[in-house]
Amino acid sequence: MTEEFEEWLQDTPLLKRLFRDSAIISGLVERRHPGQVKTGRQILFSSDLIYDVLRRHEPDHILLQAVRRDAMQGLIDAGRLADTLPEIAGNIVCRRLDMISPMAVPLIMQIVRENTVRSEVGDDVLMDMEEEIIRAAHVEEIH
Amino acid sequence: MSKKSTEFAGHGFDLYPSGGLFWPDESLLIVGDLHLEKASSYHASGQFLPPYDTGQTLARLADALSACGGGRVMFLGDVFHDGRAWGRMSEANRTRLADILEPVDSLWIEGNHDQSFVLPGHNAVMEAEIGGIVFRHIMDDAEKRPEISAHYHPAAVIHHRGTRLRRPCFVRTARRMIIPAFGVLTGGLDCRDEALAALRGRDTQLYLLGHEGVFVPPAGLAADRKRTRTR
Repeated sequence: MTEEFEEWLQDTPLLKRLFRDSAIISGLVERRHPGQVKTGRQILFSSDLIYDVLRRHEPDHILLQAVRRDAMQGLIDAGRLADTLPEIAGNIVCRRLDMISPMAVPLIMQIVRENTVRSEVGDDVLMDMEEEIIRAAHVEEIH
Repeated sequence: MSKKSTEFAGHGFDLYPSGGLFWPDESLLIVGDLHLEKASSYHASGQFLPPYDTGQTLARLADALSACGGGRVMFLGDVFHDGRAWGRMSEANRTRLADILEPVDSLWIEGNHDQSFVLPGHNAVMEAEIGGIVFRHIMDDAEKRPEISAHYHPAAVIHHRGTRLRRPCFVRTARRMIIPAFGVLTGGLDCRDEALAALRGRDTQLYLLGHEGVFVPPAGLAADRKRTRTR
């Protein structure tokens, strides 16, 4: 479970957010303040981009190790989750509510905030857009 | 990887999600703005970006050539991020580039970033004309002939069903085409920017680069007042 969980976690925007913090602490990128004037030499690179590059080329990079540790402890306590799952097994109640339950509000807010689209998902969105135009125009797809 | 085909100035072209433009009749692959060694150019100013962009861009180039089967490649400027990029390039990447170029003919158009540097053994020209189409790095507003250029790294923002996506894109009007940056670390300019005002029009067609395919949004490119800003 832990391995699968970790794999999934690494792909989420949540980890990229944590990486932003690590990248700032290490001095890899600078924090951008509102109103701050950009000087030519200090173009800010998105820490998301650096995260993707490091994951691909240096999966054991020290900053990635730090992020993994942060995530497993801070973001989600994987150890406690592993303990909890067997306890609630066979005891899950699924109910469709008329409105968002109070406990779910922070989660919904988070979904709105994390709007990073993974590139593979992006293709589906673009394809849907294209199909919609084709449907609207009633023309055959041009290849 | 699926491509899209289009006609420009009476010739057929294939547009690839890599950002490469292929001209089958000429067996010519056109790529622009590779910006090799861009990451390492920031090291001098204390920004230690991971130095893997050159290798990734070269791999993309090798893939693009084998995908289209082209025998010729045209570099539409800014192959190198700066005049000293070649000096920073690793031996492995230099060999890689040489291996890619060995079986093909290459045509080099001068860019603005590379400070007239071309790969040893090659010559760059300011512009080239093939089949009535002019190729140059930066679009010339006064050009009356059909023109294909690069330089601006055009990108477009699409809003669809509540999702916002920003993608590099080809921009094509009846007489002009601007190709996206081919390098993996290049950034982009919103195609509604003032600098690209010459491309606005109802017939302007964008071709967005996806992960696996090229996608066509509705035709037309008008300045969107809310979003227009100068850079």
